[in-house]
Amino acid sequence: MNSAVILKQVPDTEALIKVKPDGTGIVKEGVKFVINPYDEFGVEEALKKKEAAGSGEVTIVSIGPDRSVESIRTALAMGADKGVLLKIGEDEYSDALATAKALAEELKGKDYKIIFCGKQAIDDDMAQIGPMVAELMGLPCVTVVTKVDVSGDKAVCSREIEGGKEIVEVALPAVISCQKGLNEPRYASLPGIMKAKKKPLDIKDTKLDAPKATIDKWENPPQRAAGRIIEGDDAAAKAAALVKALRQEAKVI
Amino acid sequence: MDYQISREVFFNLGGPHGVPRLIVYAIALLVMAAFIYFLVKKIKVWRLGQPEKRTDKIVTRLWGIVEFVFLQIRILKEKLPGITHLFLFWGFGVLFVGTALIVIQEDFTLLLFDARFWYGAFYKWYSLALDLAGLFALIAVIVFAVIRYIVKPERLDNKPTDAISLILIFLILISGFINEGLRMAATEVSTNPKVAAMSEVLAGAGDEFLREMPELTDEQLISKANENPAFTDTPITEENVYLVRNGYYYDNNLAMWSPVGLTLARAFNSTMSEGGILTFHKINWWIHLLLAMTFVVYLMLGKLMHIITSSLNVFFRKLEPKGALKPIEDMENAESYGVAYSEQFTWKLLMDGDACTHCGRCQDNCPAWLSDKPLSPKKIVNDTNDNLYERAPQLFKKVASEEIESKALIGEANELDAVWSCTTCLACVENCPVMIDQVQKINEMRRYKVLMEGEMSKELTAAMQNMEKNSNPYGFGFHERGNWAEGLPIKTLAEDPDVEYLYYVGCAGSFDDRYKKVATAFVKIMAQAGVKVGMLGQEEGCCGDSARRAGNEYLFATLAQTNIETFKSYNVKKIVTTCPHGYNCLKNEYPQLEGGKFEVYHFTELVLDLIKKGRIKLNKSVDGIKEVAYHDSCFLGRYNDLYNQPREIIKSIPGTKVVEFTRNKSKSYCCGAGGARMWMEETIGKRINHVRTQDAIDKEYKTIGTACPFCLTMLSDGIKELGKEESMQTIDILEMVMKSMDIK
Repeated sequence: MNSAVILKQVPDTEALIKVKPDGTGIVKEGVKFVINPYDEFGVEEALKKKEAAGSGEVTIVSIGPDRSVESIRTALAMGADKGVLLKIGEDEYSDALATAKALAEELKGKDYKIIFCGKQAIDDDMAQIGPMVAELMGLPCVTVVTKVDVSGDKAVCSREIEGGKEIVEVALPAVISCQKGLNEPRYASLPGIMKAKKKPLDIKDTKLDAPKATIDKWENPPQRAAGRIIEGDDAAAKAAALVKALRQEAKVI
Repeated sequence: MDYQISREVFFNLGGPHGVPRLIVYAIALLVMAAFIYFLVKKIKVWRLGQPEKRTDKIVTRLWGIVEFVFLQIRILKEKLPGITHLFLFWGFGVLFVGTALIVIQEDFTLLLFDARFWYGAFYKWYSLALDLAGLFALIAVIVFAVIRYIVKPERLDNKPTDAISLILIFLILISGFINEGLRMAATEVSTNPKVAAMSEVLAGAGDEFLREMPELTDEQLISKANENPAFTDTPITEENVYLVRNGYYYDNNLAMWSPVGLTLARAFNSTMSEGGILTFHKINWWIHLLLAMTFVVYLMLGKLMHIITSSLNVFFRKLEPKGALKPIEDMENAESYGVAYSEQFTWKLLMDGDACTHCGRCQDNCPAWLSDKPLSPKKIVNDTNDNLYERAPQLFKKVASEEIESKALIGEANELDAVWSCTTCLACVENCPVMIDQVQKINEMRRYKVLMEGEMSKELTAAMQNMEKNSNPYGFGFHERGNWAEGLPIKTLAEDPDVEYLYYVGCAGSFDDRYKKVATAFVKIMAQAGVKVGMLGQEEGCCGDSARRAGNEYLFATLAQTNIETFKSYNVKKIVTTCPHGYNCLKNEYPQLEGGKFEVYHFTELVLDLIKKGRIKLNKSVDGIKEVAYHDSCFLGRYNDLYNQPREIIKSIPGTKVVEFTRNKSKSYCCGAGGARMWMEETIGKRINHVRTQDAIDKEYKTIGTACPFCLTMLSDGIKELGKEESMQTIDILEMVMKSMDIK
């Protein structure tokens, strides 16, 4: 079963994010980049489905600057078969639609039974690529999926919804966006890592359409104010002072 | 020349020129052939393993034979079995050498140079030595039988070969003593009056005759003896030629030098006729000979094999620092990593299996085994060995490893949980009397699971991903690494590279809230003592100890190489660590990598040195602590022999003494966090840290002193979890030193 995984390279969850003084982006020096964790579920699921089918290829498709190669190689080390990087400049930016268009263009006509992607990227949290790619390719899309069972030309997916589960049957090919809980991404074996260095990775220079939605400015979240220790002679006095502060200053009670 | 004080070889069996001697040689040749056949078979099995160079430093290796085989230094670490084994080894050894000496005289010096040495004063002492040796060996065999079959400690598994070996040795010793007793009954202390008379006659015979006599055949002896007028009346004949010989050796004083033989001889003389004694002697002599020959063949077949294999194992032992795991050679081009089939171990690790004596000391000291985990280092060694012999016949037929039908090495022969239960505390390795490397074996299997299959517990996977992404197993962002030192009198090398020592802080010092306080104490102590140390801050990376011990050699190499490059970029020469894991890793394992040689110290070494030099002044006692139960960190103690330094430091604090755990120093009980166990859940059996904390509770110790972040965490948790927070505490040595120096 051939499938594709749309993968984005994002800053590590523990990375220290600083906004550039001019507000045009983040400082990337000293930031460790990793595979978007939700996309990693997609890689794992694609590999599982391929293993269950006993044949097929998993292709990783990513848009990003040169450094994205490292993340694609990581996915190849996990067991994916080939990678495509739609290469853009380090600070080149377009909106989700332009990005989805470029991805759809690359994914078109390739016999992928399922196109996996993360439910959202953890950096900009747009959560638009999956559905947009599906739309552009004329494919059905199931989002926020925690279970996928493929049988013939259909897949039965579980989705997490408020207070319960939704079971969706979808005709394949389809786009499936992955949620935590779908699987436990594997740890790449060393032979996998070694082999990944030799697996095909196609780097295509890509020009994205001009954005229709642009980012005006990036800002750091407001600095958290320092805490305050309520002083008082005894517990009762402290409690009274605390209630007063909560009511009058914080206005929360 | 006092030739008379000696005796004739092959007495009562045709003498030195009789046919029996030839028969013995024929048997000995067959036995040697069998011995060599079985030995060669073993060697072939060992050579199914992978290559490993163990022939360097020959002198050190030979000296090991002296220390660990002849002096039995390791074996003596356990008193009763140790001394008993020493008795048996040396008892049997002296008997063996004694027998060999006779062979040397008869078949070499006498044959080629007409030279004897087995007579006179030497003969007397020889007789005494062999008599006592036999007695000691006999006592040892009995003690061993009592331990094995009456006391029955858990660590000993009684197999048929154990009983066969003990019985065989027992029978050899007993038949040997009976032999001696019978011979002496017929010669030295013969009750036949004619023998005594003959002795007097012979006393007047010429020197030349006396000297030649032992070598004469019966016929020659008869004709020679009859030349003497003393024999005219009662000529010597075939029937009574033994009278000449017996008379010659009739010597009550000489008999005193063989006390055991003498006792038996008197008993035989008082219960048997002379004819009976001589017949019994003939029969018993052959029995003794055949038993001894069986022993030689059995040397390669069962328990006794360890006499050969354990000695070889000592010779071929690991001479690299004991704390260093063996690296994987040429990781880039290797086709597989770690060990999934027993033949993928190196030949030396395979030899380990045949060298094991099943003494169970590894198991007795294993924290995993003692906390009811499925791991016994002894089982690992023996089950792996069984697996090898199951596969060997097919391997000899060149069947490919994957196609051989046998139990799977990991999962069947060895339980997977056993492989993951090891804390790499090295207690098995340090207490093994025959230098088996259980930890390397376990690590090879972990390497297979991690590097080939990517299979390990979820928590460990997360820890490794954290090490990959942020160079620390805790999962904090790497940029936070230096934050703990804000406001402290220490700079990064980027700010000031001119320092005496690089303080390699490690992950615990950088991220663990409790241990940050210890790192802080170290920095303040160094500042006060006027030692200029610097740190790397954000540029520092995880040392890789946990990754390596979890089997992730690739991650270890990546982390280590990154650190080495950083150290080199600042031209670092001397490094000091507070964490013993970083210490061991940097000191013993980084040199395996290119450019990885640095002078590495643990704070206990540095601080003790500064105390001795008076640069650290310990002025006052600490929080009223009068006694500290020092808990040995495995990676300081067993890994690097730093047992005394931490104790010395504690003792230097006014009003403070060190008290000991029952299990201490090389037998110390691990806290449970080594071998990357720090990053894994402990779901089987008792918690290792609880067992260790209980050790302190049982002794009613109030303060446990540590010198390792993992020990500190584990024992602090142990105290909390066992509800002893009110009455007990943990404290790192550095914290004590800082307080004693009166640094705020």
